[in-house]
Amino acid sequence: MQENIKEWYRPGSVDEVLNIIRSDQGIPYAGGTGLKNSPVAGLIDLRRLNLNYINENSSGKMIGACTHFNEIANYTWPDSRRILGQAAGQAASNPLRNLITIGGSLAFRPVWSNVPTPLLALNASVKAVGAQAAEYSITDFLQLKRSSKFFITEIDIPPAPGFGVYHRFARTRFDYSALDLAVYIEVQSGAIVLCRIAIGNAIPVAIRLINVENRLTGLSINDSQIPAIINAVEIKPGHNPNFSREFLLNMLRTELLRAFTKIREQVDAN
Amino acid sequence: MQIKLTINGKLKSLVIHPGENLLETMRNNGYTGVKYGCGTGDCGACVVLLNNKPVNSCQVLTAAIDGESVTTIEGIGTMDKPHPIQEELVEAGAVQCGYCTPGVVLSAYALLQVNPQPTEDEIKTALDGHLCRCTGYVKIIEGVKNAARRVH
Repeated sequence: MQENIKEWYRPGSVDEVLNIIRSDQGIPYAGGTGLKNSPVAGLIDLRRLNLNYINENSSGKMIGACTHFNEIANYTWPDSRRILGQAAGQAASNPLRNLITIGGSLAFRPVWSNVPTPLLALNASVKAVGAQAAEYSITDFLQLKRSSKFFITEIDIPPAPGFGVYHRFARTRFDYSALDLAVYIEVQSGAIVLCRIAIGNAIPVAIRLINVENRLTGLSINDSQIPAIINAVEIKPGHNPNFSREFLLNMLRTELLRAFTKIREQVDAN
Repeated sequence: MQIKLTINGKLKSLVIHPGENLLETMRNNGYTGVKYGCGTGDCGACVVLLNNKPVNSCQVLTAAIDGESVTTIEGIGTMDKPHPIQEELVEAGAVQCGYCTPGVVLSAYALLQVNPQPTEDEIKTALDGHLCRCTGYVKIIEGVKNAARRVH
């Protein structure tokens, strides 16, 4: 029982939600799994906003902020955007994935959420109301303060015709991941023309390894320099009581090498 | 506050506290087959079906699901007429203390509704939110496989 909760708001529009947030009367309630012990007195029921969808337009897929992880995991993604489905399908547990929403995960960024990493690799954008910008690149969005008074409405992901790999490392299926990694590469005539490598969980905020991406772009997918470039990757993992920083760094390098091996196999198969 | 829920196929009007979770609501209204295990969404003992999908009822605020449909273990089978999933779990030796079992049955029920012939991996994924201190899970998976064959 959360005794502090006194009021429920059931707005019919995004503007109404924003007014309630800005007046400090309440916070959005989507899946609710991140609400534990929050001192808030008012909650905003988002069901009437119909933000639970995965649609397509000419610029890609649009995912409503209230879409649950299992819906994303079970969706038939037509291209390498499936790495988002893989990430969503490996987070938390089956019953929780029927509650956790993509918008809630991005707003609160709980430890069990793996979606920032594949969204970075897929160059997604986040639509919000009440913020300084109507649409943020995922990179910029992840730098925003979590307490900012805006409301996420949609996540957009452009087509991803290239090759993608997602990997999540945890002790058990249900455990919080210690490291997750997403690689997306486009290849033309055997050469890497686009490379995005994103990592998360081992560090406080998911990031792309821009320096590594720049070194790999232009190389042949079979270039002998690739292992050396990957083995030179450096990150500073945050404190993890179960794994040393050296272990996590080695895990990252190993899984990056494996990701490139898988991508080479996909390229060869094509 | 007053809300309406369809519980095991019957429309009910309930008076709840705005901060009450679905686990509390169910148990306070006689559906004691919904078990309190951890209260944090980690054990799966409290799983119910919300609009036919398994959720941790301890993580759902009841006011947020006004008008929706909930299925508890009481709506799946009874002592006199158990569901085949319940029978197959007992037959397989998948029930010891029985505390995790209601949640497991509901997750298995939901799985077989959408996937009548699940692979072992699909069963494991469907049940990945359930902790069992007694059985070691092998018999649970075997029981669900047997139930899948029997139900379909």
